[in-house]
Amino acid sequence: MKYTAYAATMRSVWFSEDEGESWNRLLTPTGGMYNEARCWSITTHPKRPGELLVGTDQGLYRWTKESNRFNYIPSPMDNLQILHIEQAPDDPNFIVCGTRPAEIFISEDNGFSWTRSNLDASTECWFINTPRVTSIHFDPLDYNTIWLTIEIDGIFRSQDRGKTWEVLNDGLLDCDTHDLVFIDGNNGRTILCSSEAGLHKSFDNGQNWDHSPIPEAPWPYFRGVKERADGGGVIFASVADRPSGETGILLISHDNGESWKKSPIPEPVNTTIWSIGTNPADPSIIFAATLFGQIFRSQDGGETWKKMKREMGEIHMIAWQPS
Amino acid sequence: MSFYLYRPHIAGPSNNITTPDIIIDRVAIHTDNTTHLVPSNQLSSQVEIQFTNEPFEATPCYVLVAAGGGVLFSTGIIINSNGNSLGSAQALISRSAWRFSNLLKHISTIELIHYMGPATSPEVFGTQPIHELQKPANIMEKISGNREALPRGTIVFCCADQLRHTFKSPESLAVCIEDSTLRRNLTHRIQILSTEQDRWSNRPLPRYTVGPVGDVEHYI
Repeated sequence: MKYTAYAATMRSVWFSEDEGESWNRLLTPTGGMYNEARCWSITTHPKRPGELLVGTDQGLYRWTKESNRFNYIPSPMDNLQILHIEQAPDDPNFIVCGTRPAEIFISEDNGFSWTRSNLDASTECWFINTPRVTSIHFDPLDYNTIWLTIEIDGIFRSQDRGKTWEVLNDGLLDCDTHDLVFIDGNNGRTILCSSEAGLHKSFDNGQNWDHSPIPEAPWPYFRGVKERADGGGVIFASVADRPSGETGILLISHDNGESWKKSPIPEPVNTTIWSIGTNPADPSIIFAATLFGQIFRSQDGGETWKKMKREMGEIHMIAWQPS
Repeated sequence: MSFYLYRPHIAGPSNNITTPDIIIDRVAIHTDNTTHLVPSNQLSSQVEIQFTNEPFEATPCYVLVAAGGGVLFSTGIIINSNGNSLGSAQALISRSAWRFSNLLKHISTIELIHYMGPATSPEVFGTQPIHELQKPANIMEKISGNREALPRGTIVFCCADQLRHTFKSPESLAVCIEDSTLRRNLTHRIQILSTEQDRWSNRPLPRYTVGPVGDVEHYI
């Protein structure tokens, strides 16, 4: 399958049309965004092939294959860092953006108008000064339910598409939460939550969390958790010495997070694996990127990995979609 | 924009700094014993503003800002055209701030000082002890029912009405709060530029450059 990979970096978004071997940015004169723009987030949607939403330090942008440029989307977020974007699985016009400071902005009309949600996240944090949204998830069993992780404020859930929110932090060792994975099977639901204090699990839909020690993890700092796009019980978790530290590893579980082993990512890994990019169009193709610019690609569902020759400055998110 | 992103540098009593970014969407000005809500898009931390070449009023203030780690205490100034309602005033706040909780025990020693003139040779225009103004705790209680907290997103400018002055031409102004107990001060200096002033004596048309020409490849 022909596909395009995207890397959101501190120097705009890079595109790869050859499976991650080479990467380029749009032409400066006509690209629609300056080439040193800090890009924090990207998202694609299966119902919108050839479209990419990009969260930057100067607002929200939409790239389309037809225009091949970033078109600015007016929003109240121009002065904020747009750290995460998600579109409702059943309606790509329903867009949720998470920012720094930790706020949620929602558009129900494909970005024409925006509402700032009444998310009562902490406005200040001693450790990082300004809390921020680290992940947004539409509940796979109920698209009206939206989950957030906030650093450093914990896990938030809305059961009315962002109108009201509740905090679900009972049992977390640490509210420095990063990411979630939902596992729904015959035995009910398990939710995994990565945090700076390790992996947590909830068996009661987020009401309570239990710390889940992972002996294979040499450090407690868990960043991303991601399920392989086929939903077959394969989960990845990135673990590192610290957020912008010296090295990191990728753990893989073949049994929905019950047991883990170290994934054979080529070493040395130069810091935390910050982002893992999957797409249901082909669950075997997975990209992983470190915060300091290394890119890894798997073509067999995460069993083996290749380090791509090209490195970027700083990568905050990586994704791909069919061309 | 229906909110302003305030980026304070908050100095603690031992001169440690914290720098949260705080969204402000409720701006109040307390003056003449009345609290007025004004649009948040007139709030800023600018140090240079333009003003039409007509008389304007400048009122020094102390400022309270809601923050998760405790209410911030800073300084600011309200600039308004003579006779205009507060709804069109510019509310300017310093990016430097202190925690109100660190001032509670000696708030009576803190003074608000209004300067005019250039930074190199400012003249004291007037001085006002904070405790002679509306007390911060009273303002907070009136707004939130709590004498030591404000609701999220809220900022309150408390005007030193006695120091209000009408200026007939552009001016350099500064407002300083001086904490003699902890031996520190916090100043916000404003340069007011006339819209009639032009740094170009003969303002040129904007220039254009095409970048590389000829056989030079464009690498950016």
